[in-house]
Amino acid sequence: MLFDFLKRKRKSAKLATERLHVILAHERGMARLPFFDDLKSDLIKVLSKYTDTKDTLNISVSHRDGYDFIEINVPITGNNSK
Amino acid sequence: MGKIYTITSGKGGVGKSTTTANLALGMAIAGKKVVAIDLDIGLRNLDMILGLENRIVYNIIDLLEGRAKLNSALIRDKRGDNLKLLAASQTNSKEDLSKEKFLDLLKLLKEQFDFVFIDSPAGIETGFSNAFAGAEGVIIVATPEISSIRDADRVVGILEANGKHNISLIVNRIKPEMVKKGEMMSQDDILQILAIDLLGIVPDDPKMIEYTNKGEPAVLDKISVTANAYINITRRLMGEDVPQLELKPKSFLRKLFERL
Repeated sequence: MLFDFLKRKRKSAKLATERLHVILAHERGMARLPFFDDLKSDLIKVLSKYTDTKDTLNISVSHRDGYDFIEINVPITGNNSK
Repeated sequence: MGKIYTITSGKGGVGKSTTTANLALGMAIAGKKVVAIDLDIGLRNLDMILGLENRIVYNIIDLLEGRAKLNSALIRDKRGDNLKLLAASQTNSKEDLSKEKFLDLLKLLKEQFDFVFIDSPAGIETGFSNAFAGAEGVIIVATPEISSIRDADRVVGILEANGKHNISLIVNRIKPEMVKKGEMMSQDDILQILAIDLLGIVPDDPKMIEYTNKGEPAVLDKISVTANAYINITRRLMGEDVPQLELKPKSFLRKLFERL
């Protein structure tokens, strides 16, 4: 394909930097919030009492402007509200 | 009073012992009294890199357990009086080192030497906390590879959680040709990710294997760029303000010249 050629030109050092930024933001969050895994499983318990979103919910930690954020995304669709 | 620096990394094989050997010897050449301690108990290596393996009679465990006196455990460098090596034990395990006794030893060494360099074991398992417990500064060695940087970040996190904030970075084995082509992360990329101070950069040097083969660290090969890189770092540790090396890709002529 024509676009494969363009893709290949993307420099691997830049890709490495981007991948590290993403994974380290996640790992640093985990290190700062050691209770995160327990919190996550409790949240799933509570949320699945009211919704069917167990497999689709997304709970993550991020760090912005000097604060940690716990981000919870619960997709609610018509047929999964209990 | 002397200063204690621990050289560490998250990932193994990134050049901790080589860095320790070169910084310690570089300091000694500059006239400082230095002791290098190999704390990688069970996996002793600093002795061979320094070419001192035949001189070892006693090791750090012998010393801490009272089987050897300080003067007989400190191995004199064959190139001069300024550098002493305290070897790791090959037969013990990392748990055999008593932290209290080790910290007492460091206090004593600080009175007798200008610089103490501790070559720490890799990783964050047993022995790691001993290695930085008494240190004023921690030097992290990382190569421009994702696994090395990810592990370095873990170590920085653990050190900071333990109240160590004087952490600096040596980026080891940089290949300027690859950085220029965008095929290798630059020191700036790495610093931006790790957010710690840069102590120095060391180029990838094909002659490194020869230096280790002979037991004569790079810093002795004074005209080499690598020796310069290490000397710059020792000067920074002595408080001098030395600009960072500018590593340029080698020209075709230079490559040709080096082959002759």
